Amino acid sequence: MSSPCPFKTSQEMVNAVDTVYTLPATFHKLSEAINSPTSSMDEIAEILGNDQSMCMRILELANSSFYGFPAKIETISHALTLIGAQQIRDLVLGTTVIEMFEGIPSDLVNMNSFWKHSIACGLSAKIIASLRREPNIERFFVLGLLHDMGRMVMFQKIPEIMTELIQQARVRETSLYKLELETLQFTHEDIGADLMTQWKFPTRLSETIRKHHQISSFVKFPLESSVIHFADICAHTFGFDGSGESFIPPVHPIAWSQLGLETSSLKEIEKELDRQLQEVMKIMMNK
Amino acid sequence: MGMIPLDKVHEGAVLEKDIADNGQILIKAGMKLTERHLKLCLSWGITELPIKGADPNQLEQDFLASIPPEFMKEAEEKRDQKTKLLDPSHPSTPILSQIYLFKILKGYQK
Repeated sequence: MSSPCPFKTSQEMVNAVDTVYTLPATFHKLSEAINSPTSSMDEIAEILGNDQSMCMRILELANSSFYGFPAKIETISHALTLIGAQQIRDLVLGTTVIEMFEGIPSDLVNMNSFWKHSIACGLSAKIIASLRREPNIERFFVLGLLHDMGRMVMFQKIPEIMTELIQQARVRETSLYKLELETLQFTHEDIGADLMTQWKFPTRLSETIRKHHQISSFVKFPLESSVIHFADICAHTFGFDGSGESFIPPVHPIAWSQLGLETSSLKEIEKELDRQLQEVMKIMMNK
Repeated sequence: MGMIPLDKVHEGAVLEKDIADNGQILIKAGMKLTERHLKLCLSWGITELPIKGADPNQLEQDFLASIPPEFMKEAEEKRDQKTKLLDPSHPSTPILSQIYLFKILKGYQK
């Protein structure tokens, strides 16, 4: 390695993250209101109403193929009743984080491809969860959307090291995350998870992100980790490979048996993704 | 019967099964599809239709046969490179490799 990494742990790197990565007050207010047993749907709708562009995105999603509701949803109160407050909070979380990172350019990766990969992973995760008839599929979408957030921080904080690792991974024909672990003793999974902990996100989110490549029998949330692990593989396979990895990551046997998917479901996931991707991308990337 | 991608269905094809949404029939089985039907299907977000006498495998084979050999060779090389880390003995590997190959080929077609 040409230059040593100035950070000994993932936490040290997260501590050095700029204040740019601060979640807006609306998000915290919303979280508080949702977690409080005394707040009403009207109060939650009012908090959301203060952020017009966020309201627009939530309504666009509610009316898109992401949900495929038969009738048009006109108001945020209607969306809250139909989709659920927790679920809307998760969607707000996803769009807020994307907005926050969108403004930060990177010389290392094409930001457009990076977010396409993330959205394709989020949608694949949501589709896998619905094939398994899991409740609250929005959390899978958000997990997929944010699974590589740590890499974005690494591209910003240690660009030279990451450039070298990307090249090495190509030459040595191995996964980038394995080289991160070998060289730095932590991976983008740890950075993403530590950042989420700093933002006081639920453990279910942070610990899933911490283990989406390094699957074992000991992961805290085996279903969530397995879904994101395989959704990431799907995104790469379907041609959305802007994560920095040069190869389609290998399928971990523990994740595969946890999911219990038939091989025939893969084409189903692809078809469903094709149906939803363009629309959701347009909404999430504000284009 | 075969499920055929909407963009491969031509006017005059005969619908094998009812197209329904929440129990409401949108297009009845046996209907000869018109341009208007196909446009409606697109606006409803339908991506494939059950067509009488159609064979999806044949469509796949026709598609593969339409690719010039030099493109096929290049696409297969790209696929082999990209799928290097997949375990050849894992049941998902053949399907993942095939989906990736088709993605590349469809890119060429465009």
